[in-house]
This record gives sequence, structure tokens and C-alpha cells, in this order.
Amino acid sequence: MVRAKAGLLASLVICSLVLSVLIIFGQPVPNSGGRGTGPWFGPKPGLHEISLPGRIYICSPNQGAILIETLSQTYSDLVLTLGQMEYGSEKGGDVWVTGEYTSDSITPGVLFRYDYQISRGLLANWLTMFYETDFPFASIDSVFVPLDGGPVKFINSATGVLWQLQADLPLSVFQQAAAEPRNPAAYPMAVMGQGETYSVAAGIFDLVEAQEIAVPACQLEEVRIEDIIHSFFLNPSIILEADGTETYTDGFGALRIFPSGALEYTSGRQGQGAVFWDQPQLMQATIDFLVAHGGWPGNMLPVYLSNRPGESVSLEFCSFSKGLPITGENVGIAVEFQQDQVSDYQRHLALAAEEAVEIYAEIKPLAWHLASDSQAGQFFAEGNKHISDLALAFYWQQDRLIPVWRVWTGNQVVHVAASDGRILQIKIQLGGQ
Amino acid sequence: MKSIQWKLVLVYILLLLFALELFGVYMLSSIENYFMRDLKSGLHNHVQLLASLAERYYTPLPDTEGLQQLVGQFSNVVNREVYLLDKYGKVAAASPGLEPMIGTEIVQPEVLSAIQGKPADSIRFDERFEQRFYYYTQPIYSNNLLTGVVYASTSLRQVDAAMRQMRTALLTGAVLALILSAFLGLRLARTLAHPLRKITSQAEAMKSGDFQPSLDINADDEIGRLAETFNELAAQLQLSWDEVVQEKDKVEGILINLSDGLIVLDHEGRVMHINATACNWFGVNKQKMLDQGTAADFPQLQEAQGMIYLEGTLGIVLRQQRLPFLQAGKKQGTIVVLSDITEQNRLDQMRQEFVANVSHELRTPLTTIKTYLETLMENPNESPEVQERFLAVINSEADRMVRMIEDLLILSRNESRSKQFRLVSVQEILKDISKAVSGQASAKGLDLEVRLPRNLPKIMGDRDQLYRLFLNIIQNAINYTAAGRVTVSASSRNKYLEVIVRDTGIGIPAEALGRIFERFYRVDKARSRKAGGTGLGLSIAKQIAELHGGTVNIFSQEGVGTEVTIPLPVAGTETRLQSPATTGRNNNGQS
Repeated sequence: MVRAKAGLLASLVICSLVLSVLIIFGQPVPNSGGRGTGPWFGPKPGLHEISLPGRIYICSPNQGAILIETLSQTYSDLVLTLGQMEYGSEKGGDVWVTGEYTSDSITPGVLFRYDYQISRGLLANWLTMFYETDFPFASIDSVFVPLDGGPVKFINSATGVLWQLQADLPLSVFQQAAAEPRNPAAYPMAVMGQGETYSVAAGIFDLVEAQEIAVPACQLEEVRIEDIIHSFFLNPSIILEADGTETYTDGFGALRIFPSGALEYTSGRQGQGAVFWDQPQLMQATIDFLVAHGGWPGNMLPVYLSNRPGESVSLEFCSFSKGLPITGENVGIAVEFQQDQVSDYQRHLALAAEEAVEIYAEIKPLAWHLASDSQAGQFFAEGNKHISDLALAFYWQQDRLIPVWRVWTGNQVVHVAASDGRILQIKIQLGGQ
Repeated sequence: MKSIQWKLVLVYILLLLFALELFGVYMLSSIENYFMRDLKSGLHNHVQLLASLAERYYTPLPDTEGLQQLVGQFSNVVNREVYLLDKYGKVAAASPGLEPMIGTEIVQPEVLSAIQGKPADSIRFDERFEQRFYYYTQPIYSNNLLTGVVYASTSLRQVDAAMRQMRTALLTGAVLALILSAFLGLRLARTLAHPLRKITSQAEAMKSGDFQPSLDINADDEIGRLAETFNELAAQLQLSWDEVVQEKDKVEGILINLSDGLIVLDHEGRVMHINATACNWFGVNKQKMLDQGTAADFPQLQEAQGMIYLEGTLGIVLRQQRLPFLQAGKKQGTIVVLSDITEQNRLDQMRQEFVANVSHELRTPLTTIKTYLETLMENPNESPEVQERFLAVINSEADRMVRMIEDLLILSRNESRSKQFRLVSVQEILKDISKAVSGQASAKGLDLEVRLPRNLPKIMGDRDQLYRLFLNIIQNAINYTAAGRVTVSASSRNKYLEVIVRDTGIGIPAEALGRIFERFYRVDKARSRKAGGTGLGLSIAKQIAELHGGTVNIFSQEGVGTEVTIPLPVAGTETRLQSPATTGRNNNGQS
């Protein structure tokens, strides 16, 4: 009788355990194998390739500077050299000195400039000898390497603070680049002075004088529409909109193919995971998404990264031609994240034509335009605007490229035609440069 | 339902029912929430997507044609009813089949909320379809300006149907689980209840007085330990019970054998206890008294506070003593202790009479002596003959007083004297006495005949006392026999030596036979005094006979004669004789 009771209790315990396992882990699911791979759009770039600066200025003793061609050989040499920088071996090499960033901070040397605030985590992917925690700052937008062997300056021009570090790096590369840029598209520049109706931040370079610039021919990226559609949907429905736009959708996301060839993907799903606040993670997720949905074209760098805590995060990438980014209205690649999911993806990439027929256009210094009666002059004369950054770019309009000045003032980026001072676009950037 | 087994099963079932209900409510709630969340999420995604797609058709006024085409195809894709409204709540485009709604204004609360820029939802029951519907609205922004609203709904029919199915499945499962658990619970409860029943049986047996530890429960748990403790308790109780019974028997034995009467009354006068002695005295039945006796059954106890004289032939005199009956320091009733003082009372009377007799007997000669002495003193010139006669009287009275005092001393000495017996020959004593009184008998013309067998055994005794015993009896026979014969004989029979003195005297009246051994009792006082008796002779004789383990029996018939028998145990026998009745055939004999 006692054994029967013990057996009954033991069977109850075993049944309870089995039921508990079923409840906790669910019914066993047979392995049905993988889903299979989607279309392949090419190799995936490393983070070190997209954490590079958008511009490099080689500054001379008389406050002049040369803007070298981005993604050129000189550019590559310089970024690779700086990427090998490490703490100085002499005494005090690991001591960071904080200072104020002024125009005087620019001495003969090389200025690496970003269009956005790069975080120290992403910066560590370029400066590979440093860990993220080695940097005492959260983010910067410039790195200045003096040619005289002085400390390297990490600059946040938005806050006017710089951090100096005595570092070891082969200065000869920088000195040689300064002596002989070997860069056909180098643009002589000088520090932009303060105007009567506007103010200029420190370290802003404008053209020294008007000059002609070779404008490349360009074409829209040829995308593999079918592959991109199938990268998003297994069996989408198509909606033909009134203007001829084709919209592919499964009800939760929609891929629009505009008659212009631009692509726009919109997701109706709400993100469930954590929010990307870390730039390396965000960049990596962006790379993964782009590589899976259209591919990563070469000669492309990020030109904008929003930084609005608690809201969506947006990134913009532009392709580069002749060392300058090709921008324009809805041109480039824009990715918006809602939490950990892409909620909006636009792709309208202008690329330099392989057999480019170059034409030349005259570009004038921005100061010249601001001093004239041009649209730009009138715009900047209102309210004594402050110019926080300035860069040359190509603006894609009506199937051709127009040299423009991208002028950052407040939360706006004003695209001013470099030839006549017309304002082609005013773009509002929320949360960061 | 009084069995613990059923109570345990009931508790099992109630607990399980409660757990199942709790689990069911929680699970159904979770599942419904999951379904609703999924359904809402799907609708929200569709609405969000449509809002994004429709955004470019609001610039800022709605492009009705473009929106209608978009909504028409989108509705077909997602299979939902959707409205696109302008920023005032008016329908700009609608799903296929709902086109008549275009241009009408929707004023549902969720639409009004969306117009305010806040997404909103609600669940309502549509009586037309007899279904619940979930409605959701989301504002559409174009260049950060609110330009329109997406308004969509979805039926909850599938959710409600799934929940109904879930409830049915849960209810069925719960009933099956309850039945199975009740069965298993019954079996398990039985394993608990069985040893408890055994313990209960043992307790009931103990209640009936069976303290034998007999629980046999092989369990190493609380019940096993309880059974073990119960067995130990039973053994302890058995020991205690035996002790209590012994004490009770002892007390009952004491009460039964108590010569005193004992009645215990409670505070209402009911009989709590009465012993056999009291029952005998009052002539009541003990059990009846214990069942329904009250103080009213003993009226004598209420009337007399000290002495109680029981009526009837017994003539018993009792002395009652009342004591409080205390239990735990509180008075619970009264203990009445009754002592038989009949003999003591009689002795007191005898003592008083003895003192009075002694006083009287001593005062009489003293009075005589005083009278004669006063006469001689007042008449000193009386003649010598008179004086001599007076002095002789005084001398005679003084002798009588001396004899009386000597007799009293003898009596007193006999009472306090310790036994120092030795072998004595009664034959020799009787011969000596015969020689001593033969002259006295001859003087009265009496024949004194002494017949003694040769092999008369000896007895253990005091020779002087035995001499006085037999002398008093024989002298009495001579003194109260005017003519005739006095015969003294002895024989041995049944380990007794019996001395018999017969006379042919005046005899003793029958009414005096009972008192002749009393001190100073005389049948004829004048004659006795004349004969020189003190009234103590027979008392002394009886006292000596009893000291030697014998007695004095008198058989007398007035006018015929008296026979006095004195049985005494021969040496080697210690048996004390019972005094036979002193009445019977009359014989002469005086004290």
C-alpha cells in the first residue's frame, strides 16, 4: 500500500514536471530548416569606411587652406595615416588638455571635418589605436593635426571646445601632403571673415576667389527593382496610384517606386525593441539594412545624423563625385529608425556617369554672394544669421549637377548656388547638424 | 460530511476550483489581451501605413481622386474598411462600397480626437451586424501640419468566437480536472483519515476505560508521531487510572469500615455520598439515597445540632459534627460526621451513678460515726455500756469503710495492673478457700461441699486475684444461704476449667440479674449492709475473671438458689469467652 501511494505521488510529480516544461517551453516544433537567403546586393562595408570625415582641409601659415578631394588618393593617405595615431610615447602623452576653439586654433596642419557630430564610439572605428573610453568627449566634428608636431586637437565647433592630445603619428605624410597636395580638384580657401550682416564660426573656410570647377555628368543609380521588392515582400500586392507611382505592399509596409525612379519604403509597424542611441550600432544597423535592401554603393559617406533623444533617428548618405557630395531634394539615401526598426527608407542616388562629359562652371566665394544682392545675400541679411559651417557640394537638379554652397545656419542647411547665389533649397535639420 | 476525509476532499476541490478560476480568468484575460493587441497592432500598422502613403495627397487640401484610388486599392489589399477624412472630419475617400459616405462628416469621438491631433480608438457594438467593432483613427501630417485623418475599423467577431471557444475548452478542462482531482483527493484523504480514525477509536476506547496502547501506525510523519504519543499517553493513563482506582478503593474501604456515619450533602441539600454505617443507622438504601436522597430524608440532622437520639429498638445515641465540604477552595456542600456515643453515654451514666453510690456508701457510715461521736461528746456521762456499744458501732462502721475502700482499691488496681501471670492450681486455691470458710459455713449450719477432680489442669493467672475471685463467690453463696448447702465443684471441658458454685439461698430476682455486676448494686441493701457487704464483691469477681480470659455467669431463681459458673482458660489457651446472657433460670446470688 505504501509503495502504491509513493508510486502515485511520484507519477503526479513527473506529470507535473512534464506539463510545466510544456507550459514553459511550448509544444516542440519540428525544425523546418532555414527560410533561405534573399537577393544579394553586394558586399557590406566596414564601420571604419563610413566613419571617415567628409572634408579635409590642409591649412597653410597665412590662414589659407586647400580643400582636397574627398575619397581621393591624398584623402585616403591622410585618413589612413591619422587612423594609425596613438598616444604619445613621451611624458604626458596620455594627458588630455581642454581648450577653447577659436580661429587661432587653426595653425598650419590638416583639418578633418565632418558634416555631423561623430560620437567617440564611431570615431574609435577610424582611430583604431583608441578605445571609445579613451576619448574624454562625447562627440566632435573636427580633428586637427598640426604640422609642427604639436598636440592633435579634437574639436566640437558647435560648443567651441577642443581637446588636445600629444600623439604619435607619421607627420611626414601630412607634411608631404601640405607641400604637394597632388590633388587635381583641390580648392584654395581661406578662413571666412565676419560679415556686416552675418557672423561666422571659427574655422570656416570659404573660397579665396572665384574659380572654375569641373562639373561631372551624373546619372541615377540603376537599382534592381525586382530584387528590392522581393527583399521587402514575399508576395506583395501592387497599388497603382494616380500619378503612376507603383506601390508594392503587404499591408504592413509599402515600397513606392516613383516615376522618377526614386524609391521610398514606408513601414506601418511600430518598433518593439530598444532605441538605437549608440552611433556604431545605428550605423551598423543602417549598413545591414541597406545591404539587404538595395546595396551599398561605393563613394558614399554619411552627411547627416539626427540626434533627438526619445524620437526617431534619421541618417542621410550622399555619394561623392570629384570630392564633393551630390545632394539635392530627395537625393541620396535617407533612413529613419523608429526604435529598432526602419520606418522610412528613401533611395534616390545620383552617381557620376562612367563616361562623364565634364563641363565647367564658375563658383564664387560665399562671402561674395552674401555681400551681393543675391538671394543668399538677402536671406542671410535677415536677422544677422550665424554661419556655423560651410561646404562645397553638387546639387542635383533637372538631371544635372550644380555646384552649391551648403551653409549651416541654425537648424537649417541652405543650398546656395555657388555661381549666382540663388537659394536652391532650404532644408531643416532637427536635432543636430 | 463530518468525516475529515470528506472535509479534506471538499477543501481540495474548493482550492482547485479557486485556482482554476483564478488561472482561467488570468489566462482568458491574457489571451483576450493578446488577441486584442494583435488585432489592434494589425489595424494600427495598416492605418499608419496608409497615413504615410496618403500624406503626399494632402498638399494641404486633399487630392480626392488620388486618395480614392489609393484607398480603394489599399482596402482591397488589407481587406479593411477605411475612410480618409479631411482635417474637418469630412470623408474625402472611402473603401469600395462606402463611396456614398464621401462628403459626409463623421463625428465619432475618436475622429474628433484625431482632428485634435491625437490618435484615438474605441470599441462599440454594432447592432446592424450584431458584432463588436474596433475603431481607430490617426491624424495625417504633411510638412508638420495636420491635413487629414485615417479612420478604420475592424470586426471583433473572430476574437469573440475564439474567446467563446477558449471558455468552453477551459470549462470542460476544469470539470475534468475537478473530477480527477476529487477522485485522487479522496484516495489521498483516505490515507490521512484512516490513521485518524484509528486514533479516534483508541480515544473512544480510553473513554470507556480501556487504556491499552494498541495503535499500530507505521508512518514517520506527524500522524505517526501522534499515534506514538497517543500510545504513550494511554500507558500513562493506565498507570494513573490504576493509582486512582487504588486510592478510590482505599477511601471506599475506609468509609465502609468507618464506625462513624458519613453523609455528604451538596449546597442544594442533595446527598452526594453516604456510607453504610449511616445507612444502617437511618435505615435507608444507599443507592436510593445517592440517586435521589436529600437532607429532608434525615430530619434528625436538622432538628438536633449536637446529640441525636435515634428512635426505635436500637436506642442509638449519635453525635453529629458538620464540616464544610471544600473543593478548589470553594464550599460545595456539607460533610456530616456521625459518631456512635451510645456506649460512652452509658458509661457516663454509670460513672455518675458510681460516684453517687460511692459518695452515698461512704457518707452512710460516716454519718453513723459522726452521729455516735456527737452523742458521746454531748453526753460524756453516758454509761460505759452505752459508750462501749456506741464505740463498737463506730468501729464497725469504720471497718466497713475500710473494706469498702479496700475493695475500691482492688478494683482500681486490677484495672491498672499489668498481667504477671504464672501457672496456678485452681484446685489448691479452692481447697484453701474451703478451709477458710468452712467455719463460717458451719456457724450458719450450712453444708459446704467441695468436689474437685484430681487431674484438674492448671491455669495461667494471679493466685491472689483468683483467690479473691473464688472467695467472693463462695462467701456470697454462704452469706445469702440461710439453710441448705453450698457446693463448689470444678471440671475441665473444651480447654476451659470451669468452677461452679451452687447454693440453695434466697436467689436473685429476675429484674436484678442484669445489674448485679454493677458496683454498689445490692438487691436488698439493708440485708446486704447487715451482712457486711460492700456491694463490690461481684464486680471485683467479674473483673478478675475477665482479666484471666474468663467470665462469671449467674443462673438464679428467686427462692430456689443460685448457680455461679466461672469458666477460665487452661494454660496454653488465650481465647476470650463471650459473656453469656445473665438471664435464664433464676438462681440465688447477690453481689
